[in-house]
Amino acid sequence: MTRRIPRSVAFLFTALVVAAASYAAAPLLQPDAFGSARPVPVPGAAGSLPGDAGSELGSVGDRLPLPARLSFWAARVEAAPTDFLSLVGLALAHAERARLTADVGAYEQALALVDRSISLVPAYPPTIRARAAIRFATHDFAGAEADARAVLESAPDDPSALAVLGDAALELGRPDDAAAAYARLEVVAPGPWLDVRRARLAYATGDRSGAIQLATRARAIAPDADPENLGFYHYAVGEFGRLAGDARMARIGFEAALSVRPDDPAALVGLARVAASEGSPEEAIAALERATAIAPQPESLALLGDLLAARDEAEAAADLYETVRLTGELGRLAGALYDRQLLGFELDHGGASEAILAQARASLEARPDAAGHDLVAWALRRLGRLDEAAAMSDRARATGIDDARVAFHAGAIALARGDARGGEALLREALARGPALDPVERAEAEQLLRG
Amino acid sequence: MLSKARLTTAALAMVVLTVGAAPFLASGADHLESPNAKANTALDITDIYAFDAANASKTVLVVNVNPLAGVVSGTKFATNGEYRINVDTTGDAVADDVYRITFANGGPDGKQKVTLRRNGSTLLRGTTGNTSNAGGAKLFAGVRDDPFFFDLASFLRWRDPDGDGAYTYTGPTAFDGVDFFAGTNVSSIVLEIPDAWLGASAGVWATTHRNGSLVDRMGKPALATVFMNPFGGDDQKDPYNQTAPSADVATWGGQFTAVLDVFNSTPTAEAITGLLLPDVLHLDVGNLGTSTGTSFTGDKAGNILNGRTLAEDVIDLELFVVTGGLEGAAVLSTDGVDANDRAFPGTFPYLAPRN
Repeated sequence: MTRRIPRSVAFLFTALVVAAASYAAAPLLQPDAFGSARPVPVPGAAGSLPGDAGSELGSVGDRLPLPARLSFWAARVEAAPTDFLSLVGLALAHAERARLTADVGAYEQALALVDRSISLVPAYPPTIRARAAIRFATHDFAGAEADARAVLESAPDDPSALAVLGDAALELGRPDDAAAAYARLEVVAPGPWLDVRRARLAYATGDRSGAIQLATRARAIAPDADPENLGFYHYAVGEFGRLAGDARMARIGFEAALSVRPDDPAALVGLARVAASEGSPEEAIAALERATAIAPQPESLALLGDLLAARDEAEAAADLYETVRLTGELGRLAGALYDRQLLGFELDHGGASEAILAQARASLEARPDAAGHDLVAWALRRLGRLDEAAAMSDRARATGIDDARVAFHAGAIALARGDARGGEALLREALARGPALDPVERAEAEQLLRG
Repeated sequence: MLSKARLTTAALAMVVLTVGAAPFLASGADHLESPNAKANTALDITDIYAFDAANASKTVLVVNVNPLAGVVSGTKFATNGEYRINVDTTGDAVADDVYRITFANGGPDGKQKVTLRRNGSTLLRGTTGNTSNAGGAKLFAGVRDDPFFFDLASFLRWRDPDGDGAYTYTGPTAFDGVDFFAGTNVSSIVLEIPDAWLGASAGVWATTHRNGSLVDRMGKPALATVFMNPFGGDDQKDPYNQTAPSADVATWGGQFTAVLDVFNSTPTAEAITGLLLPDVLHLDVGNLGTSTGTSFTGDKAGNILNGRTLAEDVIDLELFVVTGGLEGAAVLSTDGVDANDRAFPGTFPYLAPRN
């Protein structure tokens, strides 16, 4: 039986496309090019600091449902258009809607509203802090960093601004700056929100076990009164476990996250990856179908398509792939949010071209981190420019990151250049990390090893 | 000429010079004024009030928490914390009587169990949303309309019109007169007790506690908001909230005077500081005003700084005094909002029903 997602539905999904992630809105646990835009302990969202600038982004106690809060703020803005505080309230509610419903348009509304607020009162730190969170969620890392710095000028110890400062620096490939910001954050607001950030930093600089330890500690000390945040910390343990190749730890983390938030798309995707690596495609497909129904991101749609294709459901897979490609055409913001997911998808689905390479280079320029270098390396490899690919791959690995996908790409490039011993070693290393590679990557790595 | 008593409430709030608040909100009276408060909105005291009950032999003490309840904050009271109303009957700013209110999760109807103790002895038990009456005390705990009124957005625009992060006002004042707190709720604890328990005069302040630590305190409106690093960060606000009233003058007197110096001469600033600290609400119990309707005409003796009624426009008074009104023309004497958007019923629990 063919599982077919109707094109109209799929298109609708894309029209709603999500931004960065199921949780908070911005990637953090792993760079986009490693497979996904990951949740970020972004202020105000999951993993947020207490009382943070974006509590509208997260759940606080027994608040009204989001539609009621949207109506509340919208009515106030309509009644008093110069009420810049309510403009921000409405902006943050729209950002929460974007995160929960995968509606990129809601992010655009959020940005427009917060900009309108700032035009009324330019130097009010809480609104600038709110814009920093929204900018980060929409992958405007440089803008988020600038906003964080502006807040810190008047409030040097502002925990939210320090968190965004560190997060943005990490996304922009400056781990030392991120570490410095987190050190300042530790002085003013130590807690699980800091540990989970440092876990990400540890992973980005090659300390996989340190990342797991920090994420585990964050989960242990996270207050259990806030399901959204608690779910995020469970998810973080699962994701760092998955990236380290520990399928058991990953499954426990994702399942724990889902026990707290059953509709957590990031945990569903993580669970699907684990299931796929364990040879349980049906479980993986079921999880992905749930995840894409909640938040149809390109990455999860592509993963679902790959699993369906492997089951000879070519038509359904093609439909999903088409949906993925449509995502980037929906608008500037959607393209920016998903640039690396979309580029990575093309490179693994026969879409390599000079144009894709140029886009990968542009992405790297905007965000010079390990994932950006790896993406360009992989594009060069697909185009047969092996020496350039090797050089770029070396630069990715020189960041210190110890990531299965980077190793897979480096191994494939080495093998293509005739370094059989080195290439095979890297491929085996990547494959040994089980769920850290997606099914299409595993298949390609295994095929390369078979010669 | 303002009376000495009137001066007291006065400086209260240059209001909201602060950043603060959870998302984007700055403090109102004491809404979301400190990191601890923002992290524990259920323990964030937004305002306290003290006024004459409908039965004139009793006094009403109100403590509100959960700013913008249901929207920014939740609506429930903390079950891992404690709410205290502290009463000084000897004038030394040290509590002689402590009313402790604690909450526990209730049944499937979502109501919480509430217990009131006075100096360690249980006075009554009840549930949120209902009125309990026992042991001489009457208690309500639940969601009500936030009685605080203030054009917060206009104030913040006025405070920093050129966006340089500091007060540089030079032009005319343009307030919209829009009550930012209209249509918003708080979680309210309303305690009615016999006047005799307070004596002829008393000082009252509220505190909240979690895991043995003090989270927030409030006596007069907005002192932490206004006087603790008003143009900067939140670093002073928790230390202020964790100071005992009896230590206020020694610890924070200089800071208050420095802030008041912005619009006042130093002698006047020092005089206002002397009236503001310690940070407790002074009660002349026999003359307390009532909270009915939306207008405020002073207490029974015609004075304005006796306790705090729900309708009292503390903002206008504070703006007048803090911005130099005592030395001539005030830079700012009103926010354009003179009353709450909902009338107060005049009967227990006195605050208007939830929005």
